[in-house]
Amino acid sequence: LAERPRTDFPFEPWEWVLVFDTETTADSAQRLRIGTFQLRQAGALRQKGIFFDPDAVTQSEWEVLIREAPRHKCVLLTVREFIEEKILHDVYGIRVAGGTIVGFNLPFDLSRLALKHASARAVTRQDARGNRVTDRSMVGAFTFALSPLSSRPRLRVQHISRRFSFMNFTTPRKQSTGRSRRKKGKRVPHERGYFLDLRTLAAALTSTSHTLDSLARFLGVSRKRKFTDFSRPIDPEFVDYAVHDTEVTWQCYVKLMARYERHGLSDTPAHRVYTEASLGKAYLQAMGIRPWRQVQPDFDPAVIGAIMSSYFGGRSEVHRRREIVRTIYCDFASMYPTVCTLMGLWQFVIANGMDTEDATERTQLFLDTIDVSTLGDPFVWRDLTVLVQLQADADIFPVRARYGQEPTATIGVNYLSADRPLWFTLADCVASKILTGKAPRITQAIRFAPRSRQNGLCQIKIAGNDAYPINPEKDDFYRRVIDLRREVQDQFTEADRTGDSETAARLDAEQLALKILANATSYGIFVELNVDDPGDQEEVVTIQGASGAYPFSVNKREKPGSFFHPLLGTLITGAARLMLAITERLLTERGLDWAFCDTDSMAFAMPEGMAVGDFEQRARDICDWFEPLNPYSKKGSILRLEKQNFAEGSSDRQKIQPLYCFAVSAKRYVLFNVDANGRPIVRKASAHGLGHLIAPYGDDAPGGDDDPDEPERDTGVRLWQEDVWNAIVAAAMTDRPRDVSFSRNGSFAKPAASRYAASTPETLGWMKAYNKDLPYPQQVRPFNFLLWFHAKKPEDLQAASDDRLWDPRERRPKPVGPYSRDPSSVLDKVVDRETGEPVAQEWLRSYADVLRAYHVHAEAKFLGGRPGDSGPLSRRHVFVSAVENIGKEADSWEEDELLGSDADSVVSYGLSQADRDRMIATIRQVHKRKLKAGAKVGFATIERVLASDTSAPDRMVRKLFDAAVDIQREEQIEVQREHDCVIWLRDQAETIGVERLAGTLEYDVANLRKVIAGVRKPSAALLKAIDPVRNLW
Amino acid sequence: MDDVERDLARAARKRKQYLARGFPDPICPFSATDDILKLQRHHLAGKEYSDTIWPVRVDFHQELTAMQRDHPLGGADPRNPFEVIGRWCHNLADFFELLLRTFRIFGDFLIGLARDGYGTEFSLPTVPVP
Repeated sequence: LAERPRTDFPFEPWEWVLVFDTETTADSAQRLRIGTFQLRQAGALRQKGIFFDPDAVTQSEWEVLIREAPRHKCVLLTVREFIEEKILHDVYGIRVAGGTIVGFNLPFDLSRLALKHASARAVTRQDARGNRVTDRSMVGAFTFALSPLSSRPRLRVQHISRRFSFMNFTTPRKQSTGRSRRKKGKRVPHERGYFLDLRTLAAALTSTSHTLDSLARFLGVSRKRKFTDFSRPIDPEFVDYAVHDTEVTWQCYVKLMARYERHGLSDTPAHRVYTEASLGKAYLQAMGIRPWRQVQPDFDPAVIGAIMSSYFGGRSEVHRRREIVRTIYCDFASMYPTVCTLMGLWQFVIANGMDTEDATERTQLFLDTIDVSTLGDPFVWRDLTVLVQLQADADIFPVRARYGQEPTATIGVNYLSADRPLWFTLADCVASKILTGKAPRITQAIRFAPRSRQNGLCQIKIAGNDAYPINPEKDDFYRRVIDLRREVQDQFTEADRTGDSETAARLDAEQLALKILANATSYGIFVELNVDDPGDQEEVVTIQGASGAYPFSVNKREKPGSFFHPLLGTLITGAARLMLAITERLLTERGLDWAFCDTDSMAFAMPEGMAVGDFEQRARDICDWFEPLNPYSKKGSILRLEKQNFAEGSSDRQKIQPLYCFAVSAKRYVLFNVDANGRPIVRKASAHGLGHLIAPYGDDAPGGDDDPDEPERDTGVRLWQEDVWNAIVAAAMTDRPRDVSFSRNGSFAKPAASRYAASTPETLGWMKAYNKDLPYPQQVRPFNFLLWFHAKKPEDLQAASDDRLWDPRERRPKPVGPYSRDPSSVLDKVVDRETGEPVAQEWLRSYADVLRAYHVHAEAKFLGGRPGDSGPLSRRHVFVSAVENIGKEADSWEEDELLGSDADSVVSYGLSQADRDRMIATIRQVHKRKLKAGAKVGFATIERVLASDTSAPDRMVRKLFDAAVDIQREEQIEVQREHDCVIWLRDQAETIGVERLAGTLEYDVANLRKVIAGVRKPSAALLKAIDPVRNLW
Repeated sequence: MDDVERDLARAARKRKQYLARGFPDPICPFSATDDILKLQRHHLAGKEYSDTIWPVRVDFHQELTAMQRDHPLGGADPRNPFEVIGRWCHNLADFFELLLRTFRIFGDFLIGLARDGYGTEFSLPTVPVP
């Protein structure tokens, strides 16, 4: 009948919009000079203005502004007036009027307005029931004081990723509820403000990172003017540029809002769309779908633990390492939506929860009888909604581990043997069966089945188009979306061909919306876990791991996203790995090899001696094998030859152009053609391990205005990265493939630098020493860029210098510096981020130094992947000695590895007590002195661990355990070697006599007799003497 | 205060009223008024018996409040379910009484329009015969 009044109702922004942009100095402080704004009501321009920082403009510049403001019909304000009157004013500020603050890269612009900043704290408040609740959601954010008046609210900005941040105003000191209302227990909520960052909305709606210029180009609005010299005095041209920039921002806002409104997601306002996943969730909500955790909150946590322990990401491997191979590059069309459709997972999404049943016998029978040909039947895939517990015995499974000396854990699909049962998806078991030919022996299997369909589901129209209706009850959502996209793509191609640019643009936007929708709803939202920033106090929680539950003390925890459904997440990635395993098996059956694979793609490799035509035919046969698995209306195989297999710009899909591959390690590969002069032409390359570096030259080099997120070239990488790959391939084509030199390119001799935004208090803390004596406006402040340089190791420095003696205990610095478009210009300001001491230039590694080992990067998760190795890799055999439960891996692991953030990107839930005890027992077997040297720790640490001190961190136990295992292995090798020697000595003594043998080895005959008799161990000298003689004989 | 500031100030005042009322887009069912300054929160079943409210224009609120005075006197236990349901019944009757009046006024208004020659440009939807 009526709605109950709610004081926490999510009120939406009103019709007022404040668009603004700032122009800053070009130095490291990036201090505000001027800004421009537009105040609009329901789209109509009500006021334009220019604001300036009186301390940052000269008298003559001020006069220019006074002259130019009327010419542009602008009011002229100081920055404080702008903040006070347009944003914060209690009576008519944009905040209290419920308006939206719009900008491009808003956190940066907002931080330019601040008087000072601080780190946001946890807030404790009373909830509706009067309980005290601590809200930690904004811990790790910055707060900005925009006004000297303490009664004004501060601004909070929490950086989440490069693409989005959360922004809001803090609670002002002034009461927003009158006394009489408070007496009645009523409360008027504070206005937290509405912020819309166009960079965020554009990324969500287009799946691409944009600069303002590229966004304007993409949306077809008037272009941003070219302007590069931001250090020049403010003149009419500068003002023109600034005013125009805000106009472009407004036009982009209008176009983006129109695009968003076409989606018809009226329940989700645009300022709450942060990523493609937000769009996906909004669509699911629009269909009336209630999240799984809402409809089945009482689901057994032990089963959730089992599901999560079976979760692994996509498979990314290299197989033919560091050799040039002729290849055909294929990828699966819409891999995740396809496996969702094949397994019927949409029924789980719209169900009132799921039921479980024991399916152990049936699953074992299924595994015993399945073979690769059976998997060509799409109905078989419906049976894969099973989770299996088994004790692996040389089966092939994904294993997440720290292989070799790698600082972070990576996933390798390897042989696995375990002393305990572990959980995997049935798809992974099937993959193991078809790769090894041996069915894993399972101990338990749980089959999941969707419950009845939810009530109240409603039909939606994709992108608001009547031609694209989706009925969640009748349609398989994923199949329908992909079908629609293919229809639209065909129409787009036709419109493009006939030159109907308006229709083509509309269709392009619609196919993009469909693509985003398919991707956003088919995977990521089901495994969304957000990690809270660590609190001060630890609390004991129950961890549901692979081997049961145990208590563990945590200070940060993962919060599931609203549509969290771990079963779907693990089934989807498991099925995608099965697709790759099938491809691998088919390749083997047809006598082909593969160079690398990455989640949904695989590069087939041509074996030596095979005819090209034969190779192409077999590759096409493999693609055709997958045709029956195509669930969509448009027929054809789901495994397709990628465009790199054909001549550039050619539409002829029959004539394959010779394509070659050179792969170093997972995600580090290049695909190229060879021109008539034998030079490589890069077609597709990976920027993995290069992306963090500032371009030393090229289109996007210092001085340009491009964003590092945005690849400009068709190859998927930037010009200088392409050159790196060209050099690697050129060397690989000679007889000295390891001899890759970057020193010939002068730009690579410059110190290598990476650009980071000071987006968290922790990152900004690196510049504490630099900022120490500087006035606030000249400091490196939140959201300023800063440079991170790469330091040499002390031993490298010593090797390079003949003049100076270096203390081997010398610490490797962690150099950082203020941002400059040309990093070479700030070398005198580089400091150690931990000590604040200046770092001498000789410590800094050049691009050539950083890239020196790029082409020999180890692939430790497989045998044959050491730095100097090349050729085919083979699987390791992993034996489980302990299991560490971890949270979901963060996306930033590569960055964390580079910055040395101690692998904190992954939440660790530690080892179970049994595993810890077992590891300590192994450590105990090794001599402490050897442990000290092997693990590089002190005796005190070893004693602490050996005393089973619970305060000794798991990390330390793991480190000592790794060292102990290595030492034991070396000792075993040594014992074996000694044993072999004794056997050999006995054989030789019987043949030629002991005395002659002693004479040959130049060894004391009495000692030799004792060694042969087994009384004495062979000495090092004897072993040394034996080797050349054995080799000679 | 210039025009822009005045309009912003009005928007801010209005928004505060909305926030205080607790409705994102209130509308009076009797008069279709959405002007927040003219709307008040009417307790549908009487303040003592339920906190469910509906925004109504000031004069309708006064009328509904006056009609509540005709209801039986309050019982000893305002949480008695029968008492609460009984109050709901009385108050809903008042509510529909006003709605009926609105329907009559609106019906007369539309018929008046038709007699003045309006409406010929529209056509009624044809109902398909099953």
